[in-house]
Amino acid sequence: MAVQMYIIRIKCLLKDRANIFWTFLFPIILSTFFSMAFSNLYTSETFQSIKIGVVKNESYDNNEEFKSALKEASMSKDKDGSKLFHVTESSEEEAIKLLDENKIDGYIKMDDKIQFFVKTSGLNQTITKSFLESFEENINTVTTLASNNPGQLENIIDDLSDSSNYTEANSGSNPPDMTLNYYYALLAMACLYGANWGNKEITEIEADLSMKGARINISPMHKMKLLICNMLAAFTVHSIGIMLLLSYYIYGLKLDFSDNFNYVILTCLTGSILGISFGGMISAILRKKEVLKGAITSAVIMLGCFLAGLMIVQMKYIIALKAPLIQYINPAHLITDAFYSLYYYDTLDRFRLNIVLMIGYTVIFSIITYLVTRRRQYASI
Amino acid sequence: MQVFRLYFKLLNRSLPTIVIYIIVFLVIVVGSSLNAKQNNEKMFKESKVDIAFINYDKNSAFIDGLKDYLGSRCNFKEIEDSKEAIQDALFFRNVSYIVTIPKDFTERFFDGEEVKVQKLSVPESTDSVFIDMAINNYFDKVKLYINHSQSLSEDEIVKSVMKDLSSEVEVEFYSKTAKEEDSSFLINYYNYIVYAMLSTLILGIGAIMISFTELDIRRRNIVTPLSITSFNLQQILGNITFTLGLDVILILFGFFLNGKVLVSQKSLLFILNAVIFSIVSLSIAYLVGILVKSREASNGVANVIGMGSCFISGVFVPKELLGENVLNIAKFTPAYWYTTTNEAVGKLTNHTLENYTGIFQNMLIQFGFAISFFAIALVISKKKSVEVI
Repeated sequence: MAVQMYIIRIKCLLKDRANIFWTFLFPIILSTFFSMAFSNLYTSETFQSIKIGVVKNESYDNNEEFKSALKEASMSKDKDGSKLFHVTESSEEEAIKLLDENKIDGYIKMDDKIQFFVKTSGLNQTITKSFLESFEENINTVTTLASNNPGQLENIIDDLSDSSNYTEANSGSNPPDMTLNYYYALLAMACLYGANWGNKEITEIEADLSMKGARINISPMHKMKLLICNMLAAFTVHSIGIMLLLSYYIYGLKLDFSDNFNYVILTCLTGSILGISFGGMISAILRKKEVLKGAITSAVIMLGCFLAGLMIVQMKYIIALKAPLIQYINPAHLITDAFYSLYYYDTLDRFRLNIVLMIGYTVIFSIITYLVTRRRQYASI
Repeated sequence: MQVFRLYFKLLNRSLPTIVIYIIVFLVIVVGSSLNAKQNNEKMFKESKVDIAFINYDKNSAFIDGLKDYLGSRCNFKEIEDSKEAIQDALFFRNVSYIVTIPKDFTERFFDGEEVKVQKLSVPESTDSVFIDMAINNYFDKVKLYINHSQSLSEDEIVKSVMKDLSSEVEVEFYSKTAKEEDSSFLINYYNYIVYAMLSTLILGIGAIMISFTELDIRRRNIVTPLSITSFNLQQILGNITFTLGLDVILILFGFFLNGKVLVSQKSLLFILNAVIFSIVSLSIAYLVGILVKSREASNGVANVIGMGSCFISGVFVPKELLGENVLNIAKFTPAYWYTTTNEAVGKLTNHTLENYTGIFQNMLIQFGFAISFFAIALVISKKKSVEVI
């Protein structure tokens, strides 16, 4: 009997076009837009050789030191390493023209001193400026040192040319690809959209909320048993939607998740149950029109996702700094952060905390729903 | 004018949703323009990179010197010294480089050992290239002094290095006359209008048309003594009034947020472009209104078309960051031509015929979209009207 009710319920749910759209299709469409829009966002931070021009005049031609410094900076140190500059030598008119057409970031002109002409301020221009300064600074250093030990000039110049690298990267975690948080927050949103399914289940089993509920209440089927069957059916349908989205993320969009794949699935399923139980609770407490309940659920979910960084990714960080408590009461944050901490941290501590809180909220929501719906009787509807 | 009045009675019903969309639009547009950097600089301004500086060594003159030197290139940010806090700060780009000086660094460096500072940064990023360069430059110079003037103490070396490192190269704008007025706010604002225009028109017009196309209501309407021509004309008048009303509201908000009402050639072009885009949006909304059957569906479509256009046509993410393939797809959406026109208008410095031709061509392309959407809509509605009533 129970199995039959479960199967029938699944069939019913699959006919709910609006819910199917919002949980199955909408996140997939939105994540496709994300991937189209964000595909270059992370790589745009990658360093590209700075294109600069040099005015070829007499003082430049005569300045061998500067020429060789520039030449060295426009060659890569190792084979795959990118070079600092891509230099174009030309007359001043041509350099201006190149700058006008944004083909170069600026051009260098040597007279009695070095001048650098740009169109706008920017990091590339600042890097070039600081390269030019370090050239002048080298001359300063050599002059000072040579005046102290006159015999050493050649040694000093030799030493100057072999600069070494004094920084060492901390290895370990996955690359800090900020765009991933958008996708994680979107997955959290899809999980929480389960609320619409939970909402529907309560509405359709309570006699004062829908005609269907009234009919069910006069049937000999035990109400709680039926509710559990229906909730399971909702969970089945919704979690299939989430799994489809997850496989689209991994195989379609080729996103990075943690290597620990079981934990990713665990997070998805826990998130799905959390969403459904949240919707159930809202529906059980607010015994109002369906439209209003839908609006309240959407508003809460959207606000939660906004705080978890769905629209402005830094929002998640700002909340963590300024109002850390909100993190722990925002279900969207818990789900997003579970994926984030799986991907980015070496340890599982924060992941565990998130999962425990998610399960805790699910239990609380379910108990509230149970207390409100149990043994409810209707003298008149 | 019963139909016209009815139109606005129906519109009144979806007013709360429309107002929500306009508020969301305003919040996004204000938020994003706060984020955008002002571009009306008169002097060269050095870019600074946000970094965190963590020192496990004692406070030596050597380390202070490094911090001083980096200070002219970076903003130092305080972050909590725990592994997770540091990783978080980097992931969300609160800082883009974290440098950690290990214990006894100064001592070992002056002893001639090969020591390195720890860095955590976005690998291969421009920011990290810049900071690496600065750190290496400082250490190279100190090393040079250590190797070649043994008699100097740590303090003296740092002092000489800091003196050497104070060169300043002049940076100038290549031509001061070509500096244009800053239109970045207007470009940004008018680009975001795509979202408000598409979502509100699809939602509002969709809801109204669904009410009109319901079978019983259509039957009732057909038996009125009102001629079908007059009926349709009044409906069209309603659509046009709604669209123009939305235009006026959005344009007034734009002036209000910009702080000054300027009637220049540029702002007139912006307004003209926005009006043309609203006609395109109207045609899309009309087509959607004919195709969908329920309010929920029109809600979904409004979201997908509104946000989709914004994502791929350079509204939410600047065109420079979009891939070539994406831009090629975007060319099939009117929003792309609308935003391209806005950018061209914003960059307009000299009013030559050539510049205007490009702008008007883009506007014509938008008109083309509008005409084809209307044509498709008319064909479909004709087909539907001959179905059994």
